[in-house]
Amino acid sequence: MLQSQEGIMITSAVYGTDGALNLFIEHPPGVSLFYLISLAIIPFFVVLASYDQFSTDLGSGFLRFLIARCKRVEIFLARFLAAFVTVAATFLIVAIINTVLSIRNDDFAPTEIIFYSIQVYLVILLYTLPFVAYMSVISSLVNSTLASIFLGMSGFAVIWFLNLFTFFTEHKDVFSYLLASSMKQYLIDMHTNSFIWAMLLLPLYLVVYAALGFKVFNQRNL
Amino acid sequence: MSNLLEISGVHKHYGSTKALVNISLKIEQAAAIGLVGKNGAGKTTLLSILSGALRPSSGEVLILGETPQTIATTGKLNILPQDATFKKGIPVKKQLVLFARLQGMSQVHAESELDALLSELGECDFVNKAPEQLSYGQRKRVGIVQAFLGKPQLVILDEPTAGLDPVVANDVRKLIRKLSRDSAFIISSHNLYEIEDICSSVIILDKGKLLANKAISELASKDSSISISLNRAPEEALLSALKDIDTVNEIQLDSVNNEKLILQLSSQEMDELQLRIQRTIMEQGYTITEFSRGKALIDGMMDLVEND
Repeated sequence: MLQSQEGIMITSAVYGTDGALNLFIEHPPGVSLFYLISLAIIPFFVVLASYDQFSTDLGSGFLRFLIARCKRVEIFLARFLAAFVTVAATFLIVAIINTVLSIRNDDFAPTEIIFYSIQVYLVILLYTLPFVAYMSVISSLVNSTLASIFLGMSGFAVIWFLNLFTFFTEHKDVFSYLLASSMKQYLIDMHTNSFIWAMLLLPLYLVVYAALGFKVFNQRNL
Repeated sequence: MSNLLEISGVHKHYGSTKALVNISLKIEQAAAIGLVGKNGAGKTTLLSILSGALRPSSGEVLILGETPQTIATTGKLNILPQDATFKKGIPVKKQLVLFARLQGMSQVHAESELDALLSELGECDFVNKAPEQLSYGQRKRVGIVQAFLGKPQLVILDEPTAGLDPVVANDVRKLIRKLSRDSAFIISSHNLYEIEDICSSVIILDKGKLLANKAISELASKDSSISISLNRAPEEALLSALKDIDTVNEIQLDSVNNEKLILQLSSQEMDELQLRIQRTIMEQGYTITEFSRGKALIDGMMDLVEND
């Protein structure tokens, strides 16, 4: 249906003609659909999957057992990686199922579908990293999981609210660039220069948020 | 060889509240050290700084010549935090093995080390349960076992008997004595008899300041004095009767408990003198509610706090 004329017309309205053609004609539409849905849900999914990197253990004092045995940087990296692996494993399972379905349903060679799926999965992984790092900051700040989720979600609300002030100016949506979710629009079409720029900027978001998260965790009382 | 502990000019404040003020002390040799002070004196803050859980606002801490952060992975320092809890839902034994692995032991070594420590607990089947299924006393004992895992050179025990009934507290003290054969330890407690019983020196904090870092023997003299609690405040007749005993040099009245006396003595014949003092008190119509040879740590500590 996505490859039909009507489907392309509708998706062109959202992603532009080139984007729609690229996603649903030039590439397997089943995998592209998975890609688009993933990009849309990642910010919220990652908040929900990685909100508890430190919060519960800060509240219970469990980290005090660890601090005598590990350096803070080791605890930080281990928790960060654990959260990332959880998210990555979830997307891997869905990506594999989606690839199998695409091979059965889409009119593309299996090797082409598999190659595209791998490409999509790698972009998704890179896109999730800054959000895991963002949640490392939030989770280091508070001692409660509920507060961590609330604060994590609030970050998006604050950006949305700040954008209201710039809505009618030439700097519209400028505050969106405080979060990696602003890169989503550039990741949709993999054949553009914007995509390459976005792929280069995502590691920058990761470094900035991870450094901030570690600074908070390293300085705080456990 | 490095000092066991060296603290230089440590300050810690929470906003405008000063928790520790310019703490400097040095402990050269492995020892059993008590840390005492009133509520809010800064005991837990100091122990948390030593363990690396808190950062001092200023000053430096060296344990065995290293900062609490760099010493971490070597397993030289372990801690029993006051209120920390194990991970819920995971059997305690599994968590203890993980702690041992983090100290660099292999799985086999970790399990054998743990079994050796757990054998000191006697009945210890409860370690296969999740922490939320354990009693408070069992959790404390397991906490102490984790603190002595891998024979660390220094163990920090933050109020290990707080909240325990006397029987369990006594068991915990016995456990600490057994396990501390190979490790120096610092123990904080409000129970000064406990500190006197298991420690060789004591650090006294008051309102975040270091009041004393002395051997227990300096604060709680064992032979030259006798502490006596009576059923009522002593009257002049009793005091003069006691003063009439040749070898009683000085009688101090406790400033907090007016039914308590501390007698400074010069006699070497303590047993005979003790009987004479008891007889004199009873002849004056008093009942002795507590009698201990030597000045208790609590008396030495009260002297210091009052003189400060």
